[in-house]
Amino acid sequence: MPVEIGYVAGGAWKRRALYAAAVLVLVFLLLPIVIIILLSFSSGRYLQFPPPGLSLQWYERFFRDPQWMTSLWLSARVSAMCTALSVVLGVLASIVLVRERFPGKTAVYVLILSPLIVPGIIIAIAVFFLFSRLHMMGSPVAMALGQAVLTLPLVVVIVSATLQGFDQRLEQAAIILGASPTRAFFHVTLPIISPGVISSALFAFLASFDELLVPLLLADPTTMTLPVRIWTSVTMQIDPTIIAVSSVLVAVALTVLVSAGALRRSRT
Amino acid sequence: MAGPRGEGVARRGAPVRLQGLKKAYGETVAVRDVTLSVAAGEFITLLGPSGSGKTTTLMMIAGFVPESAGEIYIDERPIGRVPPERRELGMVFQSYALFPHMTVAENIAFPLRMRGWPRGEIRQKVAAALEMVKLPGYEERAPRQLSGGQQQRVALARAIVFEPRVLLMDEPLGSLDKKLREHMQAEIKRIQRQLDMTVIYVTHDQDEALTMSDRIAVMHQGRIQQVGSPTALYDEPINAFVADFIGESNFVGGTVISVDADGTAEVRHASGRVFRAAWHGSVQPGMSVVASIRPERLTLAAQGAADSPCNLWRGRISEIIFIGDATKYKIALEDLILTVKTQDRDLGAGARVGDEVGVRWSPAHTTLLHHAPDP
Amino acid sequence: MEQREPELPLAPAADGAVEGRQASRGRNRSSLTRFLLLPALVFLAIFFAYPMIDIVMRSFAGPGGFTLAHYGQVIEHPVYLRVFQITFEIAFTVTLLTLLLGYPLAYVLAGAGKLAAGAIMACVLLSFFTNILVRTYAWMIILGPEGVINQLLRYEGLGSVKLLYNRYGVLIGMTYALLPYMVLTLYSVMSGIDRRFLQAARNLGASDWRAFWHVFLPLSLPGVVGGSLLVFILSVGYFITPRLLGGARDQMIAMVIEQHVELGVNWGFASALAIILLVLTTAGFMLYDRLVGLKSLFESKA
Repeated sequence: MPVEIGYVAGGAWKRRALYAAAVLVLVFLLLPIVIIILLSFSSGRYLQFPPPGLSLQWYERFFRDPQWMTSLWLSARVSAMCTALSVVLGVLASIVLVRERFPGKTAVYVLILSPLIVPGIIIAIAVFFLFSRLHMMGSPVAMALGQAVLTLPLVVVIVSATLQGFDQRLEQAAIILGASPTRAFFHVTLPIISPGVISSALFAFLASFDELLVPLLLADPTTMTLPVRIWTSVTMQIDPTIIAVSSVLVAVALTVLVSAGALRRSRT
Repeated sequence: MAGPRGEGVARRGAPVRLQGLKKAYGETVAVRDVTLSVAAGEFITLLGPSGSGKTTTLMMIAGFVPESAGEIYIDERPIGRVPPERRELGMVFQSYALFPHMTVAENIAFPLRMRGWPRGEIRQKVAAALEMVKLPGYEERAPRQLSGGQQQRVALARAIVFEPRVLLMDEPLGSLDKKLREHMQAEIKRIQRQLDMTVIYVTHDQDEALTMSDRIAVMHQGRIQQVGSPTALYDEPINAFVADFIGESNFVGGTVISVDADGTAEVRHASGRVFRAAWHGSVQPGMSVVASIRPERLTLAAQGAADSPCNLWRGRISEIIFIGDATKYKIALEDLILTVKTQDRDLGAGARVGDEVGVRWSPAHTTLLHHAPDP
Repeated sequence: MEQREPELPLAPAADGAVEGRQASRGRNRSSLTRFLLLPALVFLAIFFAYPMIDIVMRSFAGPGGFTLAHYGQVIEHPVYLRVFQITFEIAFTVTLLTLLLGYPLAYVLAGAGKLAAGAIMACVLLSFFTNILVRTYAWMIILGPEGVINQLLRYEGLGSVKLLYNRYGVLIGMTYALLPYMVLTLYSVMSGIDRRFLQAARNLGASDWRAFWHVFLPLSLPGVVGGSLLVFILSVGYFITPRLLGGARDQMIAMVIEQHVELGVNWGFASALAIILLVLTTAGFMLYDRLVGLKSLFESKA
């Protein structure tokens, strides 16, 4: 690995020890994920390591199982709703937060960002209490709303950062050329910040797709999102299919990361 | 207020009038009491150092900064309540502000789209605008593919495509190199004449202002110091700030001793030397004044007496600066340094630093000012 | 490029957009813009603020009205105090472990060339963004009695080792889960350390170890403090990993809260526990803000 470390000169063995340590930690970070992906292609009956052969059996089981597919579809729907809601609310909020000055702005920031600081279990039970009172247990809408509490701050953080980098003189130019502020926003600002907005949508989708606690507490036996079904399987009776499901989730995360990376590069 | 088409012909450009404009940010006053009348089709420059309030004034005309007091009239109609997008003003920003996500054609077409023009006409207009700024065929380029000068021209095309009657320009040439800047100055003038627009131009570059303007309004600390044609400002600055900001000036202070029938005043400098200056009615004996003399109005004199009515002082050359098309000589007198500027290469031939020389100038070119130069 | 006029409300400054006109001059544009904030605020008020207040209320609500009984239960029953103790023990150990593992990696990452840094960062980010459930399940596979490690050990005839459903499992799993947070925090500080400081130290006579110890390490302390605090606070609230990997003696606060809610029994008590946990983590983050600044934490997410 052509790693150039400016700091640690001299003592080649020291440098090698350092590299080795770093590589070990890196292996530590990647190994579980690699093992999951590897085992998901195992042709064996149980999860023996190393796998006896390669097969797509677990994926087939996953995609053919009506219950897993229901969960997948539910997860997709809930996450889509959640993402749409949090992106719309978040973009609007970011505009005001970045550009306007008003009393109580700090309090608003605290309110909007605090879900990031509150432990997930607490938000989950808070949302649970609310929806159980509203008799909305098992409702995908409830799950989307609950997850949006978690993804809204994420969107605000990302879109605010994008907006701050946006040169407002472009908006001024649009206005003097005849566009009302609203038209200027849609014709000029939005297209230019769209990579940031899309990025925020990607991460919001990922966060809500991966979310366990909120849909867990809000679930009823017929409405289990993907993570909830994995959880049930892990805690009650292990269905080896989850190895394939896990692998799919890794792929989703990878896709989001790659897309976000590509978006960032397209900006510059 | 000369226009190339002369008087009596209806002008396309709209007259602009600023009345008592003021802008305060809390305690700080950026613009105080700016009153100015711009004639139809005139090219007027707001000239001043940074912080003088010139850009703030322009922004108030554009509608991006609400005025704290005062009124703005375009074509004698007050526009205070008109939002910027409906003021029908063309504007060119220093940073060009070209929309990066649109092609050149889409950028230029933008104001026409906002006004709901039909597609076919838009295409024609865009092509015509590109022709006017000498960038034909550039429709499909992206802004980032263009050089600074080209971007500026596209910005200009975008600002004029909807044929505004008034064009605002905020230091548009600041980021261009000298040759390009001079070229663009000529282009802007040409386009202005062709479209007969009123132009309000903001810059801190006095050469640019002198070159391009019909009139210049010199601003300092939020106020207009003087308005006039380039010649008027250059030859008859009203105060030391204007004298110093436009062109170079030698400042010589003193007390007025007497005022004579031939229209000159005699002034004594602190060192005891005496000189004669052009007399303005407001100057009385006993007054403390500052005289402004342009370096090119001073000349080196050979040994010999002064031939009246010229002033002639003696001093030593302390510095010789060659600036290409002219040479500057700094002449040190006891407590004063006078700068002499000449294009005559033979004049100073053989002169060396340390030589004793005479400096001669005419009272007619000595302007008396009341105010001391601002620090 | 000359100086421009002083700041206008419209220049990309932090304070202000198209400045609304004075009230006497017609409609105020910026006050209209502010209403765009309302949807988000209303949403959070209904689905976040109100539910949180609800929890607070429940924690004080008993059959006869206001009561401190729920909180009292925490103190009265040594079981729950023990849970808090365990939670802090685990959080502390995990923090230490992530620091030990994360520091060298962050160090190498900060000094690496573009290609290597990109590759390392990609690995860290992949781990960071992969579902926590998946990452924890992976350890179940690896650490279990029939897991990867035991299979290998048995293959080599080395017997077996119990790493699952006990403290080891929890520590390994949580260290793994929180390592990216530590690495990213450390990296953000380390990448800002000018290498010329170290060059100066070497030039002035320090060996590479001493240059590190006396110059680099102190400069990296904000990252150490920030990362440690962050990992600690997050560990305290952890649920999924200890629940799946731990045994009876590894109960953490979040697990107890979840139990009581899921079993539908004592929501008041669960609420009290939740409030205590919330107070602890909030205090932690306030400390974090004082020492490091929360703004940088949020900015790094972007």
